[in-house]
Amino acid sequence: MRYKAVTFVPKRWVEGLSTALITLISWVALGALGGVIAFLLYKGAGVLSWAFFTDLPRRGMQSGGIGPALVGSIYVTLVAIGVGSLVGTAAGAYMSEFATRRRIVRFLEFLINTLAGIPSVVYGLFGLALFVVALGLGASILAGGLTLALLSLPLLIRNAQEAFGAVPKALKEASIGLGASELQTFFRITLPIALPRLLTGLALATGRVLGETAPILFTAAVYYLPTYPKGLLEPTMLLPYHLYVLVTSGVDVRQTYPMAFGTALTLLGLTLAFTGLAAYLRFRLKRRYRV
Amino acid sequence: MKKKMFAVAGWSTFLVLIGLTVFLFREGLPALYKFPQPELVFAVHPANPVVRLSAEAVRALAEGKADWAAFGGPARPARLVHLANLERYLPAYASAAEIQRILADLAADTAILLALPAPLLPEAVKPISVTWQGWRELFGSLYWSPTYEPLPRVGVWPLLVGSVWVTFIGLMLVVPLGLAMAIYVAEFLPRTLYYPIKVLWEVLAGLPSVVVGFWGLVVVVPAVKSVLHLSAGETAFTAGLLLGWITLPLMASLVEEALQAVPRLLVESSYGLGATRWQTILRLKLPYILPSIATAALLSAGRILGETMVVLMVSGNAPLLATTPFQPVRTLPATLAAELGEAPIGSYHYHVLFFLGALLFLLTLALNLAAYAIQSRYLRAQTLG
Repeated sequence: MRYKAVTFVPKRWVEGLSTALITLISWVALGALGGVIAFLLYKGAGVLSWAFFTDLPRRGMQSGGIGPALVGSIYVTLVAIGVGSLVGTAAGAYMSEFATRRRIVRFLEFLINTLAGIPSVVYGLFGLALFVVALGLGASILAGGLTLALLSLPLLIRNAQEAFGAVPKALKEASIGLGASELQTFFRITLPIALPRLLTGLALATGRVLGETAPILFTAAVYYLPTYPKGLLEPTMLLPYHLYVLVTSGVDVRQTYPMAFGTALTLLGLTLAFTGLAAYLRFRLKRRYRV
Repeated sequence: MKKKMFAVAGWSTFLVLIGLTVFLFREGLPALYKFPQPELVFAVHPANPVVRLSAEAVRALAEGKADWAAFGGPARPARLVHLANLERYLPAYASAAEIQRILADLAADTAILLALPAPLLPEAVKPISVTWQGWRELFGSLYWSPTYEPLPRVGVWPLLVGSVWVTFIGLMLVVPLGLAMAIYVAEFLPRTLYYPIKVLWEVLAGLPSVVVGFWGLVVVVPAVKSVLHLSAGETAFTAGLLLGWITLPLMASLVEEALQAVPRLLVESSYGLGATRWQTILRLKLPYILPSIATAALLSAGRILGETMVVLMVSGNAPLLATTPFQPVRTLPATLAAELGEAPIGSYHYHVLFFLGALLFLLTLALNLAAYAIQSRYLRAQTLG
């Protein structure tokens, strides 16, 4: 085998330019993110007030507030995260602690990756066919929440598996060695230690679920319903769908723009609060575990 | 007992995947064999010898592209009466008896083709059967107009082509820029900024798509329109631009992880032989992580292909066959989001939309499986030091 000598002499300025270019690209892409936030703050901050958050939409959604949409979003998210966190944490615990064979875990991980790649609108179709039609829940908070719970499962399971996996093995073994059963060890040792990481995943999932639109289009959302939701089996307005409605199908779109900016800013603020919290928690935890 | 419950939860993903597949196909496959308008009866004049027409033939007759002679009938162009054009023949306020009389008059024409609900049908007509080949309608037609009367047009090509354009533009953006960001963060970023930038990536990835769509509509669409001198800024290009941008964190973080995982032994050998940082990146690291780059690109493609709200808001929503990315398009997911709310449950339109959903599911599944296959094949081969 003959080797060809590399006679290429690196040019300093070419390398410098390349470095400058990728630096520029990276910061411009993130600068656009700042641009979105600044733009919505600039246009939407004036609309925000206590009344905006609590009032019903009025005059063909051109004035008033987003009360029902805000409350509807919170209800649906609570259902989704309530169900999703229970199943997700248990599934993560099974994969990290109780599954006996490595091959089973590998297969389940493969399934999770597959589910994570399925578009959210397809979950919407599934939710419509299963919860709304086959189980007869109708378009309702429950149906929408369950659909979003399915959507958030891959994220929650993966996170729980990591959280339980990060608990030092020595602690679990010490517990077993002292005569505790596997379940006792899990509930008294592993779960409390993994809790901060579990909560991180929960916050991340909450942020994602709050902003999802496609899955709730056919399973929970209504165009206009100026009352607060009264039960789990009722349809409701939701923030993301309300924003979509305000932007695309208002009576006079220009007139509803101020409301749209306020709604977008509220939605952005809520999701950023949860995503930011999750990111911050993870950052803190990483530092603690590095010791 | 308690342990069993953990096992059930653990296998929940399996159940979800099975359920998803079963329901998508149970609701989607009827699009291949069901007749779109089961409540309509197609009928002709008793003197017309035609007894069976294909859906294409009905369309050709309706649009005047063929006359009855082509199908063995009288040598006259057909006169089609269906629910959507019925009012053309009726006075403003017609009583039931009047409607009956007018329809009976129309039915006396030997060139008539009626497509009406059974109760409205006059007595002296001959019902014929109209055949519908779902497979040919879905994949043999270039038009999407699912509520067209009397028979819908459900060609998936305009939607597929729209999806392909948007994904293509998005990938053109996300692959080079994602690589650039990954190299920057892995190689040149000061360590103190490492976690802050990761947080920013997470925030960008977590932006609600409807907010991105709104921003795109207010800011990016007018910009695209004026910069490119287009008649409308809502194009596949605009959607691809925005989707490429919000997919950057996914692409960049996957590539960045791969860059960090290049074995130290190789990197240090490269430096030891006198290679510069950029030489090491371009000649060692990038070739070494090529499978990971391919995996990241496939996963990004899947993400872009499935994105719904941004596309729905900024791509113009025109289900027409686009020959360039600078035209309005409608993608598969946007069609689902826009039309499923209007399709009565159990109708042909509903089944067709589920068929599209199943198609989208299979496409993203294929992308993900390809990504998984590349990863598991090459990662095993790369276990060095």
